[in-house]
Amino acid sequence: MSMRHRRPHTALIVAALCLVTTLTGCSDSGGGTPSSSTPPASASAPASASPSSSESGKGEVKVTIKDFAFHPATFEVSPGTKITVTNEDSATHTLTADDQSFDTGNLAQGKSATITAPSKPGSYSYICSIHPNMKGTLTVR
Amino acid sequence: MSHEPTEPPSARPARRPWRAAARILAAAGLAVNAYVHADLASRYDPVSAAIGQGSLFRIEAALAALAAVLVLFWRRSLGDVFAWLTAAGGLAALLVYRYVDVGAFGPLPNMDEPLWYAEKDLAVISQVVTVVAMTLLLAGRGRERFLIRRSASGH
Repeated sequence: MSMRHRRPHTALIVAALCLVTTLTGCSDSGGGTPSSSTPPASASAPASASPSSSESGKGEVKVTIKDFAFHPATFEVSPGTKITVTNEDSATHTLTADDQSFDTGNLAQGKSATITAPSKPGSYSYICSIHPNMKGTLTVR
Repeated sequence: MSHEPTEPPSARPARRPWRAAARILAAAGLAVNAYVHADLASRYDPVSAAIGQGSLFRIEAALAALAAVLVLFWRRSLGDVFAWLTAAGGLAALLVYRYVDVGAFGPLPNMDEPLWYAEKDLAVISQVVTVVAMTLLLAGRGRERFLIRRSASGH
């Protein structure tokens, strides 16, 4: 008897999850394929939350350095996007392009620096110049 | 009841082949250690407090190079102990900063680095080789002195 009472609850939860997933999917899809329809005038930061693994869009992007890794390590931005890099490790780090096209300089614990994504589209590998096995890739589209 | 006189151990330890091999191994380990630290020093210059990590690497490189020369050419206990301390001290520091986040400590900068990479591996291997080779040499020399002292006292 009690099992029958639970089924409607389960169905409700599943339905709610589907709704949340759908809404989340709608809000994400706007940034998935950057197009010229997005007005570039505003410099507001829709992507200010720490991205998980890949990110695209204009405005400001945040990259966190933690546990000797970049988070996210691989991400996409538009040309000229401001990228704020924050070091949450106790050790000093940098975020430096292999071709030196961008470089935060030395970031001690808790320090941040803002770099500008290159204007030329392409894939830019970067490292921490102090710990070169910390790697990532910035794609400009 | 003839009493066979016991032959005292050789007073020229360096002539024993295994000792020569141990010296060469230790010196090679110290040379590699010196090279790796000298090569990496500039990369670590930004990590600094009262003294920079790059400067500490240069000091380690200089000490290891000096120790290699002493082990190969001077061949005295003092030089051997100096070489052992140089390699063991460097190894201990490397392992501590690899596994423990000590943070900045006194004049030392925060050298925390929980990573392994090729040159670091090479430094560890060279230091371990040096410590093992020098431990064998020092232990052998200590044993020899003990035997000489014992035979001299007639026991």
